Amino acid sequence: MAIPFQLTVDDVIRQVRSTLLDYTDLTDVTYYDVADLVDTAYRRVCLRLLPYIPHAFETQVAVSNGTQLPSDYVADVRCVVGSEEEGYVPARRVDIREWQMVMDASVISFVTHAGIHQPVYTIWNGYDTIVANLQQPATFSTTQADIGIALISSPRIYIAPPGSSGYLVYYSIPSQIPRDAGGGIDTLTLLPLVGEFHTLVVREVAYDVALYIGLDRKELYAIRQLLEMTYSTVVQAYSGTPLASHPIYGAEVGSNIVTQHVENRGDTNNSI
Amino acid sequence: MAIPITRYEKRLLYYLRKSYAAPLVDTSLLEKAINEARMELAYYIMQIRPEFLGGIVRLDSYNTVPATPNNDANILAYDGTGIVPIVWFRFALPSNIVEVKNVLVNVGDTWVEARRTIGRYEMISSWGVYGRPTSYQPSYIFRADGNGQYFIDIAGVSADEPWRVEVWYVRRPLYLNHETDDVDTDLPDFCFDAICYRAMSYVFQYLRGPADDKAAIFLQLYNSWLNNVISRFAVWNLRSIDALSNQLRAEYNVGVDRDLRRLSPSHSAVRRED
Repeated sequence: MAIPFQLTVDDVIRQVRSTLLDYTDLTDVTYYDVADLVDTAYRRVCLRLLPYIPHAFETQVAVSNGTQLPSDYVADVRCVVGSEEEGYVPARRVDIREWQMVMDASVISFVTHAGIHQPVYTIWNGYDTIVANLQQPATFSTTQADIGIALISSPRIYIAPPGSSGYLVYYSIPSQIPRDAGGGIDTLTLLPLVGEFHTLVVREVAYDVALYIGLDRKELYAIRQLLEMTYSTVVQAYSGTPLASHPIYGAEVGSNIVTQHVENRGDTNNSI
Repeated sequence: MAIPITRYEKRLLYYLRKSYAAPLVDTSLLEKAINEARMELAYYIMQIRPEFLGGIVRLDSYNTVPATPNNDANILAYDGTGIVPIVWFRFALPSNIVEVKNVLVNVGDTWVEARRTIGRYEMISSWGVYGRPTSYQPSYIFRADGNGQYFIDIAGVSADEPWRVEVWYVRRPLYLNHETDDVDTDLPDFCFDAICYRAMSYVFQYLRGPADDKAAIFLQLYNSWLNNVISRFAVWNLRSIDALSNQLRAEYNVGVDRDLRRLSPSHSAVRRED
């Protein structure tokens, strides 16, 4: 039975080694160093692909007023408010400056007021600090001046009308690859990316490794060019441009490249 | 959103290991570079995704209402019969604050949005009989004292009844200290690579100046990240505003000025001040 094409961290490391064989024998870099680079590189690929294939990174979470968003939150897509029994209504995202205005029934019209049929939401960090006493200018102390030092792990969502709850759909970037007790990466973990983007991950890691082992500028440039060309292909494919008009893989230009490549090998005369 | 500074340093040491600069670099240099990079990136993040760098301070007078509020003879208002001093209260704000976005005042049961006034002159000149700050329409001034301490003055509330104030603000990240093994809880996880690239370019600039080859390589990587990530987020925001504009036009026959896009880095185009 066919299975989805996915790579493990170990597979990526093997491919990185083969990619860089022309430049180095990789004796300077350990297996787990490369594994650590895979961890950040594949999430960097996700972040860069996010605008082009956003549907691949949509995640849903149940929320209510004040819910702290998960640490993989990048941006919100939509929020629906309601319940299973009464149905869900899409909420409108408001700026925090509008937030209080739509909540306050005494100063605004019913048209914009946040009601059960036209809920609103906003996303902000807080509450981080509660100051329990009034401060006079003469009594500023170091502690009071540093009240910004508070642990805020991720933003919260605020939903109106009060008491309502629902679901937030948001763009997420995968979290870190699972690690063992010693902090080492489990290299048999499958990367949550479909097969067509594995080349990107491999080349991103290869570039990181090249920086790590200190290749010279010319070699770095060559590896970077390869990586950017791969990105360019994917971006062109997913941004609506027909592949046939792609500057590299398109029909006309692409055939020139192939011809040139063959000529460079020096076997064109023989074949003709 | 919980990356210890040692993880940044470890990555920077990776990059430095084979470099001529490795013997010249110590922890304090890395710490300085990482923090400068974080600070720089934060200014991009707070424009496109301000919620990551938002904060709320709740200032509470419910339990400790001072007997004598802090009066300032320079703040006066006309109350219909004559010039009277305005009673105001001063709060210290976090030292890493960048901008106050919203101030809410609670007296009794309801929260009211306070009006921002630029300075005391405006308080005197433009508040008339009806514009005078009261618990229904409180006012605030936000400014610094010149020594890095920010504060906020609230007018319109009194010492006779308890009240609360919420200040919604945007902040800059806090300095991470290597000695105390601080954890970065300010910037989102996806900024990790960009911070490392920028910090590396700083390190090479410290050592050899901006013309250094390695500095240029890492600066280029950082710029590439900005172009591919930050600018794409900005485009999303523009699309959101366009979509909202179309929706409003369809439902209420009102449009959102496209020029607003230059003013509004946030997700929503409908803002009170507009």
